[in-house]
Amino acid sequence: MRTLIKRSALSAHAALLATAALACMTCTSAASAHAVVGDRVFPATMTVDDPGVGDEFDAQFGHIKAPTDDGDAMNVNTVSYEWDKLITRNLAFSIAGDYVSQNAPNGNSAKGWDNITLGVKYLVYANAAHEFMASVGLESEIGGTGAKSIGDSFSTFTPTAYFGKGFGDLPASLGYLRPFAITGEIGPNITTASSDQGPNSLDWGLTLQYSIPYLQNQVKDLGLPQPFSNLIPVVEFPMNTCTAGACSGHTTGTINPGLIWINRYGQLGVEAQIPVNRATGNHVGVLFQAHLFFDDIFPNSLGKPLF
Amino acid sequence: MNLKTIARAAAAAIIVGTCQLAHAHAYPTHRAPSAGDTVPTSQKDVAIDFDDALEPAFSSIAVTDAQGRSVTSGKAEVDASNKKHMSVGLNPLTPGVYTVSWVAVADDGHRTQGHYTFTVK
Repeated sequence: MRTLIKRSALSAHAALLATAALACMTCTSAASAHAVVGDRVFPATMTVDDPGVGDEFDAQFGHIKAPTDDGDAMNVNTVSYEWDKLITRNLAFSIAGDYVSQNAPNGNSAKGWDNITLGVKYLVYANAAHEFMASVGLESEIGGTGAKSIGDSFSTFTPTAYFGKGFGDLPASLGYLRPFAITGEIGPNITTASSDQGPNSLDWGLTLQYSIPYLQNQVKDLGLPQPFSNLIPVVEFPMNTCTAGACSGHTTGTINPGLIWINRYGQLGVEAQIPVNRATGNHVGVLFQAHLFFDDIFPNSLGKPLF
Repeated sequence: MNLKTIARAAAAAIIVGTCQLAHAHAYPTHRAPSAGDTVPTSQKDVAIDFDDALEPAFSSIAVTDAQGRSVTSGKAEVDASNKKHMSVGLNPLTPGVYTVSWVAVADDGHRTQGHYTFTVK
């Protein structure tokens, strides 16, 4: 499971909150599930969660420059961890944490752990023939559990819906389009704070993927060597729209083109983070990922459902 | 990012890249014929090599013609001396497009599947 960018605000504390939100874009409390439906494997995308549930672990490092109150650019580095555990075959629990380091040119630097985020996620529907999956979940960022300089004092609850659709059911005449897939998620961030301190917002995002393994296994074996045969080019669109307070209606987010290299035990990923507007920032960031599929590495212990 | 974090990330990357010890989902490493191949009418079988040992009782290969009729001469078999190799014999084929549908259940019970087509000329 992954926490999307949390929220941005344009109130009196707007810049600092905006940088915190931008930091959360890079922190992206991580893991996405090892989601398999029919012939399709949805990879663990880095900022927009995939629609599956699984036993896995994700680590990410993100770097981006975020705007400060004074209009300077502040370096924000974030290291994120998330562990997902299957309770049953369709129900997973997660715990995530991020370590954020903000270095501003004129002071106002801060570093420390962000609040802990707990999650539950349930796979409600899967259709193998049409490579479609849908899940629902709830993520809870527990206020006050992080460093005072980084984490919010209030809590945020995000009920979320996830979906994924592979295009393997396209006709043979469109064979080279069959490796495409899209995934998405949407969920309102409901905070326990007042609207000017921590406005409610809506997290939403999409990914567009083209799976080279799918191409070679299901469509046409081009004889591509490693590492190309295991690559999945992807573009992610993690977005956040403020829904209350002075920033109501404003959207921030990034466009993240990247590559995921996947094998049976896990994956490695890298993405650029391109701000979609000036409110998000002016500098391109970068995300790196290392992700482990515990159901494949430890199938008889850590990687199997509790029940 | 401190050295401990870098070390943990590197360890994860190494596990992803090199771990060959654990049983896991079984995926094909080699197929004959491959997806999108064109083969002569003398093609005798479909053989798939996987990256993990298979459970013979639950693994299978089905081959059908454009009308959905089976063209296999028997049940798919997992090689007793190499449980990562599964094959099925084919009846004499006529020119056309054929669909291979495989199901692989690894020793640990994980199930994977796939479909692809090849052409006989």
